[in-house]
Amino acid sequence: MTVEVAAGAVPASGGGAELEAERMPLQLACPNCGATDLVMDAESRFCEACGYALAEPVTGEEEPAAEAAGPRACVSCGGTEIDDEGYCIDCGDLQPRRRDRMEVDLTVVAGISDRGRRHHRNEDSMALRPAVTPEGGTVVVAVVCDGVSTSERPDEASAAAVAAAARLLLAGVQSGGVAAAELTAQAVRTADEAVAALARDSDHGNPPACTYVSALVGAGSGVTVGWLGDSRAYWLDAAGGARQLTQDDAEEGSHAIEAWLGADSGAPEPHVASFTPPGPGVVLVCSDGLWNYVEQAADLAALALPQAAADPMGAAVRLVRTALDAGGHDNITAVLVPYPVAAPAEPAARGESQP
Amino acid sequence: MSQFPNFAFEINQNEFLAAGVREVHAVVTLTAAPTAGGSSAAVPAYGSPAGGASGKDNVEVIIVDCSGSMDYPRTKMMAAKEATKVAIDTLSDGAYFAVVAGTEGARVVYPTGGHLLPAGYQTRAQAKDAVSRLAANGGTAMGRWLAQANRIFDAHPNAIKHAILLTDGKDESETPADLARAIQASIGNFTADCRGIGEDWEVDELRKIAEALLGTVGIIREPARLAEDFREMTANSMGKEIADVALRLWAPKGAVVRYVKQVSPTLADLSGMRVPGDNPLTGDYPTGAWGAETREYHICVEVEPGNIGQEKLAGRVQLVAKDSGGATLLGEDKIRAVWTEDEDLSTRINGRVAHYTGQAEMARAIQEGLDAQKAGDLDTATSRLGRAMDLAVESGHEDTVKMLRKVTEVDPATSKVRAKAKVDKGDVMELDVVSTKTVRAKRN
Repeated sequence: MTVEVAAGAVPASGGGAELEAERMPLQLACPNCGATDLVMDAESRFCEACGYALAEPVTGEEEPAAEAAGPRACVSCGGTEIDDEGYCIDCGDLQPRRRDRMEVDLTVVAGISDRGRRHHRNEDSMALRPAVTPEGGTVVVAVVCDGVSTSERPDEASAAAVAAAARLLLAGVQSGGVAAAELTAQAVRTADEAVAALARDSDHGNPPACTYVSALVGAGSGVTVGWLGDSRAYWLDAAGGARQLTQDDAEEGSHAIEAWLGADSGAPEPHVASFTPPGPGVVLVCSDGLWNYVEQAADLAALALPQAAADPMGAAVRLVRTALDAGGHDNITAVLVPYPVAAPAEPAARGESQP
Repeated sequence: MSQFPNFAFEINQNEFLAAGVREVHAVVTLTAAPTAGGSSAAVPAYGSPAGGASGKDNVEVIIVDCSGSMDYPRTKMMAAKEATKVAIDTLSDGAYFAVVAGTEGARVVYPTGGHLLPAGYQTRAQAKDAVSRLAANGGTAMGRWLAQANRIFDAHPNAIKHAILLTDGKDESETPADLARAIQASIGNFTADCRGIGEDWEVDELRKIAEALLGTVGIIREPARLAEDFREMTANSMGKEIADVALRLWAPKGAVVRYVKQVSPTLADLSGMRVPGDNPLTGDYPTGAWGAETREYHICVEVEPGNIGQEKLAGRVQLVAKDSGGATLLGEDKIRAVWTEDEDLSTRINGRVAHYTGQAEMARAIQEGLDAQKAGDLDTATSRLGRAMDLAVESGHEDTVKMLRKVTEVDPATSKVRAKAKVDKGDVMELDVVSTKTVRAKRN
């Protein structure tokens, strides 16, 4: 696969330095056969040379393997017939949807995305999965996007963004040979294009838009984050080193973001930063539905740790419940990656969704 | 099954409602594209059985007022005969047609043999000959005219059925209840465009007929213009591609459908024409026959408010073509309701809903203003007609602005619009007629 990418002299651990990037082709090689004409788009995700299936990110929106598909009763009126779009054919109420609460526990990384208590749908999306480098190291990929609620179809925007970005990040990690910062910058651009492609004439000047934050957390390579908007990544540890790794594209205290993904984004330069953890801890990638209630890294660390190290899912449950109990005014998404990264129990490229 | 035109189906609304809000508004925009072969109504259909399954048979009934007053002045009857002949010439070859002379009764002057004949060289000549022999003599009972048309159309259940009704006077040879019953019996069976010639007819009376029969009202102040008007109405009718189309609306249990109104090209309240569907939550509103055209409908449904964050389906709107074989779905979309505490969302005004709300208010203001003016209540007339003028200017409704100027004047003291004390009767009727014509909403 050949793509335009930002390539620059990026320090391996830039300590928050942003990329000054110039565009150069990014070459990804098949991790299995080494072919460099890797085909990777929305339709085909296989190496054309050897048929090797690239890792697919897990978003929590996947269809359950075998769920009893019997008739459901309407949660509002008890009616027994729900139409194909999820509306009760008696009272018209939309039934709870899969995206209202998505939970993914892959042990080495876990995440929850919740509709919250006040919004009518979940416009956040997440994608996560560990991948194995050609050298055998494990790198965890975590992406969170938050749909801009004043744009059209923000839920579709965030879903398209996380899928496109995570797919590229996973392929890049598996393929190897591309620096994490370079790969991250390219993932933001790929996500921007994916969201821009959703725009229609009927959007009345408000094409789908969303924020972006991703983290690559490697066993040996540290943490690389990329972002646009006000979704955040934090480093949380118990040793007093907890800190926010991203810097919002918004005025202090304002929710009016100044950079986003979408057809009207103006293709902004992604922010990319690298961080070398001083010791064990956890990387938190989240939307503002969480940090609106608990903003300080130390407070988040106090909630998540020590549980997050061994049970990131349990810690994610706790973080999300805290935001819900405080009012849940926005959609809440939290993805936790314990550090140091553990080798996945299952083959990383085959991770399955957990109910 | 015949091929139906393709319909573009669009719903415009702001689905976001503040807590506790019950009313959900939406504007449905329907555009029928011309079918392949466009005006294939010109294909001769001689000898084909009436009401064939194609759904493309046209039946036209022209009802000409032959009351005694049509001869005063004589130009009215002369214009009516001339216009009817033009209409006969405008019929597509093969279209079935009849001419009815309307008085206190309703006599079919063509054809005289009891069943309709397709338009052709000979039948047109015979019909025009019969029209030439029409004489003005008698009263006016429009209910009987409609009943006669209904009987004629009954032999062609699946055809595209249209009537042109011309009168010059009031419905004085029967009671208003007689007329109302005849209108009721005609709803959904055929559509009708109504024209009044001169100034001695009642706009309200013709509007009742035209609204119920999904047609237009027009005033003919110069008899010489009647022929062109008849030609246009006939051509428009011949251009219809599909006979019987209905808006099918599902609303949730406990909801009240406040109204279903056509808002473009003219205002017509369809609420009272609801035909219950198979399911108690579903009803059909007739929209008549369609050619290549665009129409818009404003639907208002009142629902039980949901909690913040809840989404409810407030309506499912379908467009269905109905014939003896059943109903065919031509398009559908949803009216949604989402309760939110985000004021940025709930206070958004949908441009299209606002536009047609304004057009309906304009029509009401004109009719109330004209009523007040007639009753000598100039203060009310000034306030209502002034409001109408503002709305007409705002929406760029130039015809209405022009006609409002004829019944109002600028008060030199305040430089504001005020109702004239003395107005020309024809000007008032013309404004009344134009009040229910709307201008299309701009793209929002």
